[in-house]
Amino acid sequence: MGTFFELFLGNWYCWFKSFYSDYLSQYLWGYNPVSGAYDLELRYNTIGLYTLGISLLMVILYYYVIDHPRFCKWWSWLIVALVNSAIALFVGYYCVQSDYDAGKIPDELLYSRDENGEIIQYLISIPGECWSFGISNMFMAFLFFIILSFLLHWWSRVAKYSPFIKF
Amino acid sequence: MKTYVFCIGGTGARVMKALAMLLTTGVKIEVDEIVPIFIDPDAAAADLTRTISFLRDYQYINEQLHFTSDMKNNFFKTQISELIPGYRLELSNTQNNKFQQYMDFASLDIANQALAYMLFSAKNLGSDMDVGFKGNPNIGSVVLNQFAQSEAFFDFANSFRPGDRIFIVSSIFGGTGASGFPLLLKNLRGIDMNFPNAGNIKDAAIGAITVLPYFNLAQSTDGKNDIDSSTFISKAKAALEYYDKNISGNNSLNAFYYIADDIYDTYAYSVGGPTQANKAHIIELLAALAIVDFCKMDNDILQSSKGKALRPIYKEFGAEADDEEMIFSSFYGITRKEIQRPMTEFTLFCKFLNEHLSSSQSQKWTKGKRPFDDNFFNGIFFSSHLRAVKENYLQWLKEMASNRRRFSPFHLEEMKKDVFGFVKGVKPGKVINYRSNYDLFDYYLCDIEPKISNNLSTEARFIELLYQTVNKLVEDKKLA
Repeated sequence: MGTFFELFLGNWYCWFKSFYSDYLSQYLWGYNPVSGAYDLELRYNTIGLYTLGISLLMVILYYYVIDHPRFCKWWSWLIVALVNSAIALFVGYYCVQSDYDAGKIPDELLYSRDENGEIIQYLISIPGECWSFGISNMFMAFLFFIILSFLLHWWSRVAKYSPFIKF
Repeated sequence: MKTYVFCIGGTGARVMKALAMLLTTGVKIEVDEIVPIFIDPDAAAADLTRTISFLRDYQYINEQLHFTSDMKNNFFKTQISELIPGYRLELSNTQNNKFQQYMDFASLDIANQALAYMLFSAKNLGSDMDVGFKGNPNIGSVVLNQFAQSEAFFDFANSFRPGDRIFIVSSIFGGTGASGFPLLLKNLRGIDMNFPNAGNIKDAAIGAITVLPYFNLAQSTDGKNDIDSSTFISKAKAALEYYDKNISGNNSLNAFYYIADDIYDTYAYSVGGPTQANKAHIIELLAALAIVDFCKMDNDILQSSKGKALRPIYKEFGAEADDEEMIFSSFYGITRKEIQRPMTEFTLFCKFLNEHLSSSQSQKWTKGKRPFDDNFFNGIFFSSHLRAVKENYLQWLKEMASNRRRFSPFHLEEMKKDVFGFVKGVKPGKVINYRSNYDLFDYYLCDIEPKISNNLSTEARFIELLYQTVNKLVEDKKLA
């Protein structure tokens, strides 16, 4: 396991871990069943940074590009936040699904096999858990959007008080 | 430096109203203070009462704005002062009196009564003084000769300072203006040297505009017209002949403006009083511009000595196009430059207040460090005085647009999908901004609001913010 900052996003994702299995979580933490160590890519960070980046773009879009007098009410902010979450849902789904398709998820985390190598149990259900992770990524994106809105709304010309002062 | 504007009769009141409207919009006038003084025996004339009511609203707003160096605002910038309570020079013994009672006809000896009968008809002698002189300058020349004895005239003399100027507005075709103007001028140039500042007044820069006939009057409902508009031209000719000898001929004025038109509208007949509410007319606006022009003149040009102008100037107004409907492009550049931008800015301001403010009140610009909250919008400044000014201004524009000749530079109807297309003959320019119409207006308000000084009062901040916004919009959209 890495430093506090390396683990920061993963720890946040774990708040919403109940949507998917421990096996998928293990993969996302970078667990390597062969070595028994966390030496694979820390996917939480990669996907988290994608989501953070998209949320940042959406916040900038809302506060500085759209910045429209008719689109500065709390509900307009909420619409953009929900759109951001919806994008995150698909990003989460796509990342796990593409990792699976590319064979990046270790077999040991995907299946339980008998002595003959026959699959006796699917440890990670695909594509169900891709969507489940997408849902947790959706919550993360909403969280990012709130935090970034707090940080970046000050310099908006029109939407400065959206959604923090009730209109 | 002050300019005292003596406004004689109904035309005087309407020209003063036009000047106040122009000052409201921020037309630049090279004077610190305008002091209107109305001379009209008809205290109830709607033209006069409407003007006075507007001046009071203007004055209130001007006082609330406390113009400081922090402000770029030109709306309501020039101070209008009430030297005489009610702005009106009271004429004694005119209330509830007939002319013959006023001149104490019964006490005259037979010879003088005979002379009076030669000068005044029986109808003249029986005229009621409450409603002016009903187009009879011969009556006016008697009654108005008293104003030099009034306390108000003394107050005027007392407040006069070297460098102050005087301007007289009158019509030539009625009773009050035609008779009052030469009398007033005589009293100013030949002022009794016992008055305070008499020397300064005698040699002051004095300008005047005389308005030639520009409307007709319809027949009265009973067919008995005390004022007959068919005599306007002959009266004007007679008065001009008199002016030629006694005003122009003896260099009494430093600057003398004439204005006339050959397209007339016919107004409903009114002998005076509350029913005398003539529609605003472009001639009155242009006459008001004469005052602006007079205030701009160099002192060197307006020198007087021993009550005579050393270099008298005579001016007329000309327009580029003789259109029945005038718009800004109908004027020559100098006039356009003077009025187009301020009028466009203030009209946009009024349209915003009327058409969009209620929707815009939830925007960020109302919620800054010094918010514009319900207390402000329900307060007397906004809900009473500013609203009255806005309504009066728009009404004034509508009246000019419905008169003949028409002055109709703006589309005053609501055009929410083409907000900036309201200036006739002007195609709004493009701005690099995807917002349009009132969304663009709101965007500019939100952008400018944080830059407005918080040291200003809420009233001043509001006007300053709206001024800077409409100023930038008019600039960016190339509306003037």
